[in-house]
Amino acid sequence: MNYIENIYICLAAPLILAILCMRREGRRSLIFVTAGMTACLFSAYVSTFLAGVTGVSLANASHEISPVVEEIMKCLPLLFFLLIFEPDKRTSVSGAVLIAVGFATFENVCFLISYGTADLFRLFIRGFGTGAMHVVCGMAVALGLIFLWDRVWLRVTGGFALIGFVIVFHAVFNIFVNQSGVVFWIGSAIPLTLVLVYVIFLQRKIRLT
Amino acid sequence: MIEIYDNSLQILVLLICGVIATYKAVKYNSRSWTILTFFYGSWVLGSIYWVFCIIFYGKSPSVTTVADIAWCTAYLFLYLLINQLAPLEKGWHKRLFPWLGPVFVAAMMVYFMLEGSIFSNLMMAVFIALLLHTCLIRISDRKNFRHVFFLCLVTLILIFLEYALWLTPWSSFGDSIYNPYYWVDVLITISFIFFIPAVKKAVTA
Repeated sequence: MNYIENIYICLAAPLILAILCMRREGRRSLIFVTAGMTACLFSAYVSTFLAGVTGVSLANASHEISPVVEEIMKCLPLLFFLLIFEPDKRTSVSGAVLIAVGFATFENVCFLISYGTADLFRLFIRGFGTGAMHVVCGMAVALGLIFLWDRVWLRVTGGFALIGFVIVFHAVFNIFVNQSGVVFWIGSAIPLTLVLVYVIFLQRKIRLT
Repeated sequence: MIEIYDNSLQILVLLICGVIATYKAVKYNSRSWTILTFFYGSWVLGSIYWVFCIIFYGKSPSVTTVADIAWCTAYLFLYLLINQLAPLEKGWHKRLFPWLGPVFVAAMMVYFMLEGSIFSNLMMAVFIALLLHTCLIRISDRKNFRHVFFLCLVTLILIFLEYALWLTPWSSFGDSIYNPYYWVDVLITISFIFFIPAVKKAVTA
């Protein structure tokens, strides 16, 4: 059994101390990363609870319940930031991606502790695959924010639609990575390929930050 | 097996349309094409999710929330697209005709709720009612919204084909090519193609 609260404290403690010491952009970035980790912690609780209530098995919960809970929890810190601080476009976009990074980091550490550190190659693929998936989801929300920024109703409706989009993307990814062999490789490669396509071909056209 | 072939055809068509929409979005740095890309993306991800659940787990998902979210999201993107291309003027809510859409959807929702899930039917009905209402407003005022008329018409056809699909008695015909369910689904697949010329017409107008 994993005591994820303990893992969370170990990971978040230095970040929280750094947040107290740093200023401006550095502080903001660390707050986003910590918020992503916190969202991951809470989504683990909520997913486990909902899986218990609906009677869904652990394997099925990973694609039927977790994606919905995780993506909604991940967007809550961003929503809070957008509504309370009314930031500019650039800061909001960085926030969406950094929250995703914090979430993925915490999830990978929990995975490491659950399944051990012996198989470096599988961990390498899993680490990059999951990391890339969360970053792709963050980037999709960020891209939407860029395109739908100028009108409030567009931002709100588009925000809902984008969360729905990333939930389904996440669910499809989870189905793939829960399999073994070639399907696992393909599943892990898809988000990684999308990130590379963005970096190589689209970064000049669409600047997220 | 027919279900997998039918869904695979739909996925293929949606992927091709999605690639075209992405190309146009990047080329013209256009918001409308980007929203259309997300529409195709949501629908194709929902179909992929459904097909892979059948392939890997041997059955459709027990909790259908994710697939329902995919299709509701696709409707929401269409709603955004139409509102973005043809913003409404003041006093739109006073016209009676467009409200027939939500009334129709509410009646169908009650019918489906008698046999199916309350939550997923309610969620689907809310999004379809929004979309149907927004389409009927533009169609009823063709003079001001001529440029999105074709887009609204294609959307209306998609919605009515969806209802035809849900009303088709799947179990009476079984998993065979003669099942009208699959033929309606093929028509839905074909209707996706028409969104590209419709958006092109609306953008260039």
